Amino acid sequence: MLEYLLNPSVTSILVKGLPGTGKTTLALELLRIHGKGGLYVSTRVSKEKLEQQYPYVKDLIEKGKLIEIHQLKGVEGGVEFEDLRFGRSVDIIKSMLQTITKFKESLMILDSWDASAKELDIKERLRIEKSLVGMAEANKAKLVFVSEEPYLTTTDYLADAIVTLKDEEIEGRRMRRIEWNKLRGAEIPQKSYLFTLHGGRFRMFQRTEAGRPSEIEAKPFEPMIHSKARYSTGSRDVDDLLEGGLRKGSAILLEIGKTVSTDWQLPLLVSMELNFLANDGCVVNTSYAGLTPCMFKDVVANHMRKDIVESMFRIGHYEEFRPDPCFFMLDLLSMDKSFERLWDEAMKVRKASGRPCFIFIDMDTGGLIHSEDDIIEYSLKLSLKVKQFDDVLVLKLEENNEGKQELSTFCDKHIKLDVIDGTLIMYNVRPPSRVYVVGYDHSRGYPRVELTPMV
Amino acid sequence: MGEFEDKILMCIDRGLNHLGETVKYVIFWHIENTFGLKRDKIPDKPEEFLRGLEGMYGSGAKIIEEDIVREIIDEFGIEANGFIEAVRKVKKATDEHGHQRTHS
Repeated sequence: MLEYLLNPSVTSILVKGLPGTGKTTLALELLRIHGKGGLYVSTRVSKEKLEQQYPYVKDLIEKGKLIEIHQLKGVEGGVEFEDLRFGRSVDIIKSMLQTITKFKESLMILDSWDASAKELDIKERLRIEKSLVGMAEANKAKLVFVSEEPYLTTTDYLADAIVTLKDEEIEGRRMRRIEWNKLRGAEIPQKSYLFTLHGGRFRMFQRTEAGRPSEIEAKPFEPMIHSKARYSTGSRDVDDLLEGGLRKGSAILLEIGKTVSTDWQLPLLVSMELNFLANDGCVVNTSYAGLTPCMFKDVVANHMRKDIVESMFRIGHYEEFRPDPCFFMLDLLSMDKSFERLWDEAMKVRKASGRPCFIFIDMDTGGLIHSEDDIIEYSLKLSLKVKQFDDVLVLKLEENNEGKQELSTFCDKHIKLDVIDGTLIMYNVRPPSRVYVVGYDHSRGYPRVELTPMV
Repeated sequence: MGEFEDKILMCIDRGLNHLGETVKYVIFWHIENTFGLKRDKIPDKPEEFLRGLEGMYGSGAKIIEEDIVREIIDEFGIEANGFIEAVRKVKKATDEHGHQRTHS
C-alpha cells in the first residue's frame, strides 16, 4: 500500500503528524521502497542520532539508497543571506538541487519542512514550495515534506499525496493509524489503516485475510510442544501473549468484537485445537455460532489424521445430524443434561487418550437455548472441574454478551479479538496487554497465528 | 558593467521575482555553481543561463523565461521571441545607439 505514495502521478508527498507519531520512520521506509537513491535533509536530528535510532540507515547509505544526510544548522556553505529564515530555506533548496541534478529519480526527504517554512511569510513559502516541486518534477524526483503542523498549510494544497499519522489510545491501549487524506493517481479503498513501528520499521496493515479453506492446499498440522506447566496454542506469538501458553487447568474467556466474522475467529481456535490433538490430547466443543458441526469438523479434519479426529475430537450440538463418531447431542430443554453430556464426552475421550482435554464452549450459541444465568453457573462449575484434570476451558462470547463481566472475573485470562480499520487485532483484557495485529500464515498448509505488536 | 548589462540584469531580477527572493538567489547560485557563470556575466551568455534554468525546472523553465522576456520587452520596447533573441536585440540596439552617439 505504501507503494501507492510512490506512483508516477505523485511528485510531492506530505507526511503530517504530531511528534512521536512515526513520520521519520515512514519517510525512511519510503526511501527504502523507492530504492533509487535519495537525500535526507534533517533540521532536527544529527546523522549520528538518526543512525542510532534507525540502525538500517547505515545500511541504506552503504547500499547507495541514501546518498547524503544533511543536517542544517542555520546558514552554512557560504550563504550570504543575513536572514537566518532565508538562509535555512536556501540551504534546503541547494541540497535538493545538487542531489536531483546529480541523481535522477531520487527521493528527497525534508524533515521537517515546517521547522523552516513556518518562519517564512506565506507568499514566500508558497513560492519556495512550488519551486521545489517544479524542480522535482523536472528531474523525475520525489519530494517528501515532513510536517508537524496540524492545520492546513500551503503544502497541503500543493502536495499530490497527504497522509496523517495518529497515535491514539483506545481503552488504555496504543493504536497507531495512518489516515490517507489525498492521493493522486490511485484509489485508496479506505480512509485509515493501522500501522506499527515495531523494530524501528514502518509497517502498515491491510485488511486481514483469513484465507478460505478451499483456497488453501491443506497439509498436516505440525505440533508445537507443550511445556511442563502450559499447553502451547500452536502459535509462538499467542503463547507469548499468554505468558507461555494456556496454563494447565485454566479457563480462558475469548471475547469477540461485533464485527469479527467467523472466518476471522476460527483460525485462532482451530490452531489451539489442532495443537492439542497433534500432541495426543483430546478436544470437546459445543457447536460454533455460524458453523454447522460438519463444517466445524472439516476445518480441523483437513489438517489431522482421520483416526485421531474420530477418536479424539467431539462436537456437541442441538440438532439431528448425520451419524458421525465426532458428534454428540446436547439437550435442548435441560442445561443440566447438556452439561452432563459434555462432561461425559470429555471424560470418555480423556480416558481413551490418557491426556488432558481442551474444552470449548460457545456461550452465544448456548445462550440462545438455555438461560444466561444457567450458562454462567455451569461454566463456573466447568472451570473448577478442568482444574482437577489439568484440562483447559475456552469460553467464547460476543462483546455485548451480558454475562461478560461475571465470566471475566472467574476466568484466568480474558482476551479479545476485534477489528479496527479492517484489521484483526487481539489483546489481553485481563491482565491488560498492548494491542497485537493478528495475521494468519497459511504457507505451511494450515493456519498459524502471527501477532505483531502495536508499538 | 555597462548600461546594457545593468538593464538586462534588472529585467532578469524582476522576472525571477515571481519565484521569490530565496529561489531567485538559488537560481543564480546554481548557474554559477554549474556553469561557472556569475550573475553579472549572464547578459553575455544567455544560452547558459537558459540551460541552467532548464536543468532546474525542465519544461517549466519556459514560463520563467517568458516572465523575463516580458520584462525586457517592456523595458526596451522591442519585439522578441525568447530570451536569447531578446538579449541579442537589446545588445545590438545598445551597440548601435552607442556607435551613433560616438559618431555624432
